[in-house]
Amino acid sequence: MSEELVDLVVDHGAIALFGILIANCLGMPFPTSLLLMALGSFVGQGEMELWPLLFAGISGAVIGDQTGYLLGRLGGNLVLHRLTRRPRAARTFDKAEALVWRWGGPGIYFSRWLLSPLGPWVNLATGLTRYPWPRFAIWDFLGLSTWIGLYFGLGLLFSRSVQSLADLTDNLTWMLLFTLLTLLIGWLLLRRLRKEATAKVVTPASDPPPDTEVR
Amino acid sequence: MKLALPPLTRTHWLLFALFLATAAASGFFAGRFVENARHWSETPQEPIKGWMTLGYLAHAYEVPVADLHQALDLPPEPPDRRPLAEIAEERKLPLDALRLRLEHAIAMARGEVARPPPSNGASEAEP
Repeated sequence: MSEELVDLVVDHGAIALFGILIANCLGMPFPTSLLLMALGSFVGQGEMELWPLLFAGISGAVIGDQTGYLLGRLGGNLVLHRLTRRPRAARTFDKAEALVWRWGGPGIYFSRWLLSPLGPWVNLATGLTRYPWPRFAIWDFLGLSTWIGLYFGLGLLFSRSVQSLADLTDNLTWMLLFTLLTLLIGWLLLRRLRKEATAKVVTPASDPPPDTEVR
Repeated sequence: MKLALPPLTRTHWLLFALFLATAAASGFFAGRFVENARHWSETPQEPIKGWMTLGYLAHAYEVPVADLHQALDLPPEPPDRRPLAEIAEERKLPLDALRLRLEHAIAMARGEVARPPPSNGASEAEP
């Protein structure tokens, strides 16, 4: 896959990068870290020009993310329409919405570059929960500029070690992502256990049945 | 007043299994990250991959790009900018065959392997 992407950009220039990043931000799992660092290295060797690539890369990624957000928003309207008939589900949706609104900014920013596999899902989630578009656009632009600028910069700086660096950053990304998931699931489990334990508060007046284990 | 631990339900076990699975995945990628970092610090040389162009390889290994063109029987001008995978595909060769020829050419350019005599250099450049 990497060779096809590099070949496309070497042959067709910035316009190919534009298309690749639109598809990537919509969920196509392309090895874009390696591609961006390889292009950074090519720029460093004087084989390609930086500014058209930078402009096309950021524009393509912004369009891809905005499309994802729009799809989520359209889907959100349909979901809301159905939820009006199911109050319990509507309450759950309201909770999810509050969570996304609370963590939306950093979530959008870090899912552009540090936790990039989450990017397309965050776009859908923010659109679905009607996260304000201007805030989405600003955080998205900041995150994408960080992503593309950082990876081009790494390619320029370590222009002789692109493959080794891409392996390193890929493993770092997945490690961080799974660590975050582990913490989240651990927190959910603990919260659930604590909540249920609190609900079953045993006072000295209410004796537990003989077969119930009390700790 | 005491807190009673609720009996563990199927949801608890499912969450616990997910917790273990993601923790294991996290450990796996941490191990790979450390291994990559260790390998990079010990042997900072790039492995040859299909996406690389001859120009990139010459830059990474600090050898003349003309030597790499010569190793693949390509004219040095205009420089070939295709990835190695595409060159291999055009020649219906496995990438490993090109890799061996390029590794040999790199070793020769760095003086790690003796260059063949000029009279029959082209044929002996083959590994």
